[in-house]
Amino acid sequence: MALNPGSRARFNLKNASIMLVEHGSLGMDILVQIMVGFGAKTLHKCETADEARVTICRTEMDLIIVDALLGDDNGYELVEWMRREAPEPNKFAPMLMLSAHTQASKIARARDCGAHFIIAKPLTPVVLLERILWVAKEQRRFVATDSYIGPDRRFKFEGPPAGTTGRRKDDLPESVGEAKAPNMSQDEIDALMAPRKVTL
Amino acid sequence: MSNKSVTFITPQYKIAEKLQQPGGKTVAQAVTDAQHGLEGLADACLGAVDEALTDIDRAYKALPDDFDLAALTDLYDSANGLIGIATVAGLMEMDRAAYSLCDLIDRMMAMGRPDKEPIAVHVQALHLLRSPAALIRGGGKVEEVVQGLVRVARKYRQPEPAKPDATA
Repeated sequence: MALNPGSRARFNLKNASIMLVEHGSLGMDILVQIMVGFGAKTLHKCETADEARVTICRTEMDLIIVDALLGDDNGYELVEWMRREAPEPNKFAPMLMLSAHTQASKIARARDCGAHFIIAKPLTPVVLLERILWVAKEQRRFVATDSYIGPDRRFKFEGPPAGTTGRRKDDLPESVGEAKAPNMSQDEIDALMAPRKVTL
Repeated sequence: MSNKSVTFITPQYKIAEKLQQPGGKTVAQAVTDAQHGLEGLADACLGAVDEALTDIDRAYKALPDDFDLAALTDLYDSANGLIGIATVAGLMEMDRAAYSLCDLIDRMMAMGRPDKEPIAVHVQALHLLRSPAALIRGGGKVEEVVQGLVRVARKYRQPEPAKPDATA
């Protein structure tokens, strides 16, 4: 996932509508400077959860960035509210949560609030950009149950832990049995990787 | 297996379409421009760092010897507010020290086991790291201060020694 900060790959945030929810004025300035540096032009700044609720019911957003600490409010509660109560399509908008230190007792809450990513402070431009580009590229589907609405939290496909059977319908059994055909030769494997000219 | 009903939804990610529109910036240019923007905030962040340090000092001095959740929470909030600001001010190690302090206090709150000594070490370290040039001139090393905090926090995680039996 690591983004090369010297990459010449292009992206365009000029027409994206982005909501920033950050309590402290300096924290907001930091976020704004980073997003302006990225080329974003349409930034909706909200200092409280109430402001954010009003804004999200009024304007369609392409990206939402929320700080976990919102003074007397709670960033996790805000994201949970947005996933359940915000009008479509905003309820499915990509949401990134920013957090300084997360208390151990709140880690599960942070994971389950419905944000796409929790990004640890101090915020660096390359990490924030990496997460924005990743969210847009992966386009994770959403899961809605009575206890959770948000992007599918299962986005690693490494199989079930060793010694356990999987719970997903498409998980392979622990023992897949003997091979039914001879193994591929190294030449056959190399041929799969070799670039080929395509005739159109 | 759970019997809860689950709905899968595949929303349209408009951000993906907009990112691919012609124009825009390269990653390299965007990161450079963002960094330049942050450099303009360095002085303001330095002022905020000093305010946060004053707040941390106040909260530390108000800590009683016995367990006080409200006092610990106040100190936790003060230290947490520093994280992210110090790096923009060019004092990245202060962020690491503030994080370590928050982690320590979080454990104290969870375990109900107060100990002012490791907190004092962290608060002193924050003051040292506020002026890294002065620390280095005095023969100190910034990274050693941070590693010292790691050792202090690790020592706190060890179980409390059993108190001798008064009836023995």
